[in-house]
Parts: sequence; structure tokens; C-alpha cells
Amino acid sequence: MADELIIGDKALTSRLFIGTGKFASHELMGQAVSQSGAQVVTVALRRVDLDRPQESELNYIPAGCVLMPNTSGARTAEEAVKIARIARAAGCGNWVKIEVVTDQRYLLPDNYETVKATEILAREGFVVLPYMNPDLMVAKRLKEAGAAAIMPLGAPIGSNRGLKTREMIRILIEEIDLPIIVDAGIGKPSEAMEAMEMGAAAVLVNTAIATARDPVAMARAFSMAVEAGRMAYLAGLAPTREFAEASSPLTGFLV
Amino acid sequence: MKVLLNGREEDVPTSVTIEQLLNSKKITPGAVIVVVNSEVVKRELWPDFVIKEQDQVEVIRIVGGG
Amino acid sequence: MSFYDVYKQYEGFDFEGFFQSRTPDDVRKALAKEHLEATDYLTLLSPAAGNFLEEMAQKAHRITLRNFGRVIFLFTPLYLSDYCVNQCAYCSFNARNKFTRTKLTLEQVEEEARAIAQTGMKDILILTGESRQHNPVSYLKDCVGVLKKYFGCISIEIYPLEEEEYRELVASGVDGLTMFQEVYDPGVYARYHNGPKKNYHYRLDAPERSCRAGMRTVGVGALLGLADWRKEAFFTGLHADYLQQKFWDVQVSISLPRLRPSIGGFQPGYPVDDRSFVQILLAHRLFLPRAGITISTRESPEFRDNILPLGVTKISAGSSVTVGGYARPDGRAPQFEISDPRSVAEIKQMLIQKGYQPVFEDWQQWDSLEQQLCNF
Ligand code: SF4
Repeated sequence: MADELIIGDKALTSRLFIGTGKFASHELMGQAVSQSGAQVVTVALRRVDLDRPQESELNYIPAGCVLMPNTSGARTAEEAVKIARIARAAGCGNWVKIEVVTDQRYLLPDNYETVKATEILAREGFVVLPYMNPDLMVAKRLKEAGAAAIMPLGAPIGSNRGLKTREMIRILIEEIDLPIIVDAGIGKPSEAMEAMEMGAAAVLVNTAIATARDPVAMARAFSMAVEAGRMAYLAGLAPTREFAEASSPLTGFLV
Repeated sequence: MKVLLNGREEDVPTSVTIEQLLNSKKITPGAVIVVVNSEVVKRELWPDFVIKEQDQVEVIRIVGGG
Repeated sequence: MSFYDVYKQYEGFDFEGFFQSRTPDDVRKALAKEHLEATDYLTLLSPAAGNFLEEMAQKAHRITLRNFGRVIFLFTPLYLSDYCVNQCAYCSFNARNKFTRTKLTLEQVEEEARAIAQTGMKDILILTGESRQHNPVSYLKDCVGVLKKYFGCISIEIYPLEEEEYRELVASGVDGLTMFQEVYDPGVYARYHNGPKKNYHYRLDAPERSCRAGMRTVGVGALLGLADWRKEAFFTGLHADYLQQKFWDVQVSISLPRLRPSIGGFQPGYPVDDRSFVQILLAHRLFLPRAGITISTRESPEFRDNILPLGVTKISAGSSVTVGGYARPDGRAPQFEISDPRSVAEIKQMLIQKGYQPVFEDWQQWDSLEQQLCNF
């Protein structure tokens, strides 16, 4: 049986999502995505620079990839909703990564506005993947609001610091009956692998690939790490003993 | 007449259509989305959609993003 | 969506085949997992897992300590009325049993409350048989009005109600519901129940209705002995899990009522021995690390003491299971025979001796807290 990740109406075989920002060139981005086998890529909406119209990145994204526009730039639920609607009208399909960032110092997501936006967009038929600060209660509210998956951050955006929120993400994986996709903060393939070993459904990587010396090779490395981590998770990691010393029997009273 | 184009005030000919406006800015229509006063205007309507004085026009495109 | 939809997913599932095919390795794997899936849970209920009780117990003990600490909550049942129109074969209050029925007046409720409160108990579970004529919701509300003065936590174990009625009771001061499905297998259920209780679905959805009505704690359970315990335990756990997932602000707990002799000499068709009982308890704990697990005085003192470290979080103490039995223990018909006759003080002492802290009140209702503050 194929190990597929079902989100919305899509059955994915790759569990590496790639963000397409920050690459040195459109070509490199396109190659990195296709070499990694990623099937979901995030994109953003921006105003056209009227003085210097540019070629669209879309032409470089391998055919068949699911486009997931993010709502970056939104500071409120209303703005995120607006951006999502525009993206859908632009033909990006109905997936959306909700990203509402009010805090401009650490760029941490505003969970409250994110829940509001998720509720509205899910009702409008979007496949909503909210980016959030890992908080169990918020994740539950997002699920109730109709999120298709939850995307907790591993560390502040672009920080390449790894899984700083490990314990909180572990709780989300345990408690939330939706795919948990670790977004932001993953700086190395080993960190992506760790997230997958823990049971994350997928990881989203952008900066670490885009800013590597060789983004294409790094994309492949991530793809292998994600696969290895997933395989380890499915194989069932060997039990680590919580206590070394033998405990006294608890069921000795049973004959 | 004056319109707000991507947040910038611009002088455009009276009763200009979206299509004419994009052409004048040398924007390839294939890759952009046009939003007038917060409403997305469908591509089919561009040749006939006339922009009015003080309209807020946003020309948006998809870019790389994480 | 109702829990029945979850139940239906297993229609046609070959439980027997699954149980028989489980190997020691399957059990080890399930035991190694931090988060158990439904199939792991079922594996821990299989005959193969019966040989791993010690391993399961060690893990269950650790999980319980981690989640609850060395604390055991105490509660006392209070029977208000033994009028009942149903004919549950296993219950002494069964309408076919001839004895003079009784129902506490509000003065008697107060007497009972005083007698129980004197022992230090603060958490009370009120019970009645099913009779909308004798034990209507309005009567329960009146009783709650009296009991509120003595107890911080009031739970009900009565016939299933409408959501609106639960809401009324919550408003009047009830914070918990206990509702045993008795048996999850609809066929067996139909065999043992008559009267209004025959409605399987109405009962099955009652915990959910009460959650929607704002109940703070909800307990489910299956009477152990009525049907194949492996399956019954499985669905009990799934039911608790379903409620916990859906109503995440509700504290969900499981009880393990093992059938006791009652008037009428009912013999359980599927008796559950101690080993099996322990296996169920452990599987529950491992599947639902944070659910409450309640053990009543149906179990003997020695057995209760022994299973305390295996995942138990709440026990009843100093229980009387007759109507009016606290103020005047005059030998009326009990709902079932209790096995642990120890007083609250004795239970308290036992817990302390075993290194547990007895807790008499899980939480304080806001309004009583407010009252306290106002009294300053
Ligand atoms: S179990 Fe409840 S409903 Fe059934 S006879 Fe006893 S009191 Fe009545």
C-alpha cells in the first residue's frame, strides 16, 4: 500500500513541500523543485513592479505541482482572506497557506487572526493550511474551523534554527487528527528527518534550500532525509527505555 | 484623470480599459491579476472594463514565496 | 456525527481473526509506541497481550504518574430514588423486583448530605432509577439545590436526558455526568433492556448531548460481564476518545463496573476475572494517557489497593448503594452488593500509606469561589 499523504482532494507521495522564495534565480528554483520530487510548492502574491515588469516564476515550476499561495503580507484575517480570494481568482487552485504576521520583529504568526481567517476560507471551500505558532488549543480551534492540515513553526521564520518547538509539535502530532506539517525554522536535512521521525506528516522548507551553496543538491538531500525520517517513523522506532533500573513488579498479586 | 495604480497616483487617459492600461505599461497579461477597488476583475472583462477617476487598481502577480 | 458512526466503522471487522493473529511482537510494538492507534489498543486487548501484563503495568504506572502525579480523587455515590420503570436483568432496582420503592424528600437529602459531608467528602455522584414520573428533572434540580451547600462537585448518574434538560441541570449546579452504555453491542443491548432504556441510540448519544450542554466531566463505561470484554472495552475506549477529541474542554473518564451479584441472582454470561480486568484497565490507560479511570466499591479492598498504581485516578469511598443509606443504614435493597465496605477515613489512611494524596475535590465551582470571595 502506497504511503500517501491526503490533503484536500490530493494524494501526495512526496512529503517535502518547498517554498519558492529567496532563490538566486527562477531556473535554480525550478531545478531544485523538480530534483527533489516535491509536489507542493508555496508561492506568494505581490504587486507588479510597473517600472520593471518581470517574468513569472510560474513558468519554472514543474507541471503537476500543487500551488499553495501564501497570504504573506497579511496582518489581519481580513487581509489574508482577501489575498486568498485573489490567488484563487488568479488560477492558483484552492489551496492556501494562511500566514498572518503582525509582529514584525520575529515575524511570528498571529494565531488569533489565523483562526479567524481559516474559518472564513474553509467555509468558502478553500483547502486551508494555516501556519501557526504551535499551541494545542489553537490547533484544536483550527481543526474545528476546518483546516486541512496544521503547519506549526519549528523556529522563527528564516532562522534556520531547527526544531526549537519540538515538544509542542510532538503534542500536536499526538493530539490533532490532521496532518501536521512543520513549517519554518528547519535548517538542515537532519532536522527535517527528526520532524518526520516524530510523526510529522510533511515538512515545508524554503530558506535552507534556497540559500544553500548548491540549492539543487540541497533540495535532493532534504528529499532523502524526509523519506528516511518517514520510513523510520513507519517502521516504528526501537523502544528507548525510560528507566534503566528494574522496577518492582506491579502485577505480582495476580495469580 | 487620476487613479491609484499599485498604490501610486498615476495620470491615465479618461475611459481607459484595463487591457489598454496593461498594454501601456508593457505588462504581459498572461501572468497577472487585476483588482479594481478590492474586486478581482476577470480576464474576459479586461477589454471592456473601463477604469474611472480615483479607482484603486492593483496589478498583482505570483512570485516565489515560502 | 455520533459515536455510532465510529462504531459502525467496525461493522464486519473480524475481531476474532484479529485477536488470534496478534503475536508477542505486535504487542511489543504497540507497547513501544508513545501514541497508540486504535489497532494498537485492540492489540493490547488481545489474548497475546495477556502475557505482557507486567510490562503494560510498568508503562501504565509511569504514564499515570506523569499525567496525574501521586493523587487519587475520591467521590461518594448518593442514591436519591430507587423507582425505576426499566427491567435491566442485572440490576436490583429492576421494575420486576418487588420491594417498596422509596425516594428521598428534600429534608432527607439534606440529612444524607450532612452525613456524607461529615466524612469530609466533597465530590458527590447522585443516582436514581429511570422514572420521569417519580424522579423528574425538576426533582433533581431541587436536590442539587440542597446538595450545593455541602459539595463542591455534583455529578449525576441517571436516565438519559435531552440536551436542554442537561443544560438546566448544569445551570442548577451539576458539573459531571456518568452514563454507562452498559453494553456497546446493540444485539446484546436489546436482549438485556426493556422499557425506555431499550433505545440504544438515545443512550449512546447522551454523553455527547451533555457535553454540548456544558457538562464539565463525563464518564463512560461498559458493564463488564455482559458481552465479550475485549470488544466492549475497545468500544468504551473509542467512545471516551471520541468525546475527548470532540469536546476538548470536557474531562472524560472511564469506569470499569464489573457485574456484582444483585437481587434476582443474575449471572453474567461473560464473567471477567481479575487478570482480564487488569488487562482492560492497563489498555485503557495506555490508549488514553490523560483520561480519568474510576473504580467503585464493587471491587474488593485488596484488589482495589493492588490496582491503584496501574492507572486509577478516582475511587469511591464510604459508599452506600441504598436510598437513604448514609443517615439511616437500615438494610434496604442495595442496587448491587458492594465489596469494599471501608469508611472514608480508612480509605484515606490506606491512600496515604501507599504514598498517594487523597483529593476530595477536583475543582471548585466558580460561583462558590466567588461566594467565598464575597464573604471576605
Ligand atoms: S440499571 Fe438503572 S435503568 Fe436499569 S433497572 Fe437498574 S436503575 Fe433501572
